[in-house]
Amino acid sequence: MSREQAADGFQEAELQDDPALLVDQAPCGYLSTTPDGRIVKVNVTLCTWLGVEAQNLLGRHLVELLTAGGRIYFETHYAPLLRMQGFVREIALDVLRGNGDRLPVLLNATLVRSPDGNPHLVRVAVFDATERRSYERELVRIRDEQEAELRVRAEQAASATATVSQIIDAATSTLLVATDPAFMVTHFNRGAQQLLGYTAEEALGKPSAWFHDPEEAVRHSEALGVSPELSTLVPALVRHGEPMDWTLTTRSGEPRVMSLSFTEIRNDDRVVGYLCAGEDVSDRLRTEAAQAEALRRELESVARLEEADRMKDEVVSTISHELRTPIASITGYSELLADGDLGELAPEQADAVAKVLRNTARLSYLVDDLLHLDRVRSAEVSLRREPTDMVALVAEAHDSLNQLARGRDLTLKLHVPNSPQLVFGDSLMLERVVFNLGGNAIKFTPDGGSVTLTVSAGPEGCVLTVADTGIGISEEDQPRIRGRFYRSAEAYRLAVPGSGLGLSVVDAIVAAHDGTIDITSALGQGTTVTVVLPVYEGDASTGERSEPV
Amino acid sequence: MDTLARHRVSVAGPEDGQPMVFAHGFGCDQTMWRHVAPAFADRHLVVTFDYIGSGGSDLSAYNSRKYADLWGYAADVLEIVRELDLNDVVFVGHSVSAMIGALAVIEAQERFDKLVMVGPSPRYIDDVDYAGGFSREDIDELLESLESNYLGWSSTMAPMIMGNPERPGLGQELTASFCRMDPAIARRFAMTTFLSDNRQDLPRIGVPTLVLQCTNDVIAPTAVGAYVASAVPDGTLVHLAATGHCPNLSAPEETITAISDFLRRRETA
Repeated sequence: MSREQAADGFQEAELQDDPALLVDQAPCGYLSTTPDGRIVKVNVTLCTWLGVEAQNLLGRHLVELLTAGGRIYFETHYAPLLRMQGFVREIALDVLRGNGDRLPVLLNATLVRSPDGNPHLVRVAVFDATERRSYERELVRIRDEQEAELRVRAEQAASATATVSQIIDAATSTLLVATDPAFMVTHFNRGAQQLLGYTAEEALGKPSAWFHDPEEAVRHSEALGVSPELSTLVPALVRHGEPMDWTLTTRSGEPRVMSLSFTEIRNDDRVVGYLCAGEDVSDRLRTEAAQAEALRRELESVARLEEADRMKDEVVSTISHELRTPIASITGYSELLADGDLGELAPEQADAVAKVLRNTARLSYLVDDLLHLDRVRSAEVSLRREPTDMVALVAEAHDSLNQLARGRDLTLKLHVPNSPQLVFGDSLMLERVVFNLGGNAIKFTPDGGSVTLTVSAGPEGCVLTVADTGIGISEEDQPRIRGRFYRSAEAYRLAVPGSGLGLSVVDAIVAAHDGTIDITSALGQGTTVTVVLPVYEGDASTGERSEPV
Repeated sequence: MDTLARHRVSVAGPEDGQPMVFAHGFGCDQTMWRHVAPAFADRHLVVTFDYIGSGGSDLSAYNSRKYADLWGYAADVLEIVRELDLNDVVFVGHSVSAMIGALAVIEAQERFDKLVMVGPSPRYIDDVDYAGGFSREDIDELLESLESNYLGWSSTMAPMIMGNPERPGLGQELTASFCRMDPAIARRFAMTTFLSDNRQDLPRIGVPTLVLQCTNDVIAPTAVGAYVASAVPDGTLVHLAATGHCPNLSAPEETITAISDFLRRRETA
């Protein structure tokens, strides 16, 4: 016999247990009852657990070992189940010990039938469930605690949600729509309801795409360079950050333009949905479109006016040219008459011819003004610019002006420096400037007054000043006097002759020479016109300008 | 779901036979009557059903407010009776159903002919000059027992098991078991049953009533049976040799005989 065989033999011998002892001293309680529950047999283990002698248990009803509440459970669950199924498993009950303490147990029972099929005996196994029950109670306690805590948290969450909902709903002119990650609408605030016409009930649970044309998604996806599926488009819109205009369709089918911005709703690091906020910009866009249309019309009419202005200039220019020839002819023949080349004139005739000549000169001057204006305005290239000494130019003009003022009680003063003041300009044009300004001063200065021409070197350039003690220009007229054909109210009132062209010609010439012109005047106080022209810094003999260093 | 499906109503016997409605008590379902009801199906239209929350009823129809007192259950009985258009009904109620039947009779007596109360109790808790057999603490112990026995069958577990699509067999296996009940509903049914006091309603039962009293019934003691029989105007008390609370299971023959005798005696009377 090998050692292993010997060991096996020993174990087998040791494992032989007395069946009676096994039942009596099993690690669980055993008892048998009649079908109606009267105890007929009980093992030692159970007697030990209960602290009761076997003979005190035999003949008693099983329910007598239970608590009153347990008895109800026994009668309403254990007994019917045993009858109907023939067995019960793990019935949890408390049995009463001899000393009145409770022993938590689990009962398994089997109904044994006699050969004729009638219930004969019930075999019951009783397991000590003390530890298990205490754990169960602990589990129940923890569960109840957690359920209570959950209820409190749910209430808190519900109240927080209600608050947020109220805040969101208070925004009645702002659309706020929340969706889950699958873009199904989870919140549809009052603003959204008012703007789109759907009730919250209608909108909730609907896909967000329900509210816009698929083309809208395609349009925005192309703008952002992503595919048009909401799963890629919406995160792209979130990243984009800026509001974008979407055309949404209201319940009644009316398209409304909403400026929408998208944000993620996050719980910790998880995206749990999206929030879309927006406002209805349909009205604003309509107003903007109307404004743009009004501006377009205005520009159109300005262009038309400019065209009309240009045509008028052309007409004036043409007429002026056409007038020169007949004026020259009138002047020529009048001079012949005045000089007596066509025969001696009677004194009345000589006087009449002198009047013709004077008025022809005025007409000629007027036509020249018109032509000058046209020339400076039409192109700078027509200026014949050369280094010009303003001192000499003004001195010459002063002489001419003296002629003009003949017969008037006016003092014409001239202040010029000793050294020349060179500017780079068209001397004929600049003469015109001095003559027009001086002529105006003479015209608008009543007898007894004075007109002063001054040339000086200023920090900005060569300064020409024409000051008079005349009627002045009202504040109201000052902004308008540079316009062509404009004549001040005083000029009309005092019936001072003039075309209203002089100052606009001056203005155009000075501008063509990169100069500035400034007029200070007060009604009845006289007028001072200051013209500043850039100083010529080149060599006067060669006419070339030195480049600035 | 219609009334009959909601209560898993089953009907047997001749359509023109006098209707007998068998109602189960707290703890189980209509299978409690499987050894008794068929015995009447030769002459009677036999109707059995489950209360909402028990057996194969529609759990979703459970309404804790409606079933907070026995009138809610009585309303369901009348709904079934009207749905099947039953008249001249013999209502056989076990345990708490004895009182539910009494309320149904009080509510619509024109539909009922007789009432059979098996193990009735109008009030389980002792009162001044009244011994129901239990104290309020005892009922708490019962609720504790229910909890212990349903721990593996908690309200959170049950729907998960029942609705587990990967293990359809499990749900069927559990629902096929006898006396399964949603623990939350069982708890409320227990409270409604054992905390009710319908003693005042007994004198209002206007049909001949049989009270079947078992021997050694810990739930409905002998004194309570006698109290009920004497409080019902036309009450008859019959003591059964059967012990315990469920003579319909432990002594079906004796139960059948007692009910038959009552019906026959009344017919000949």
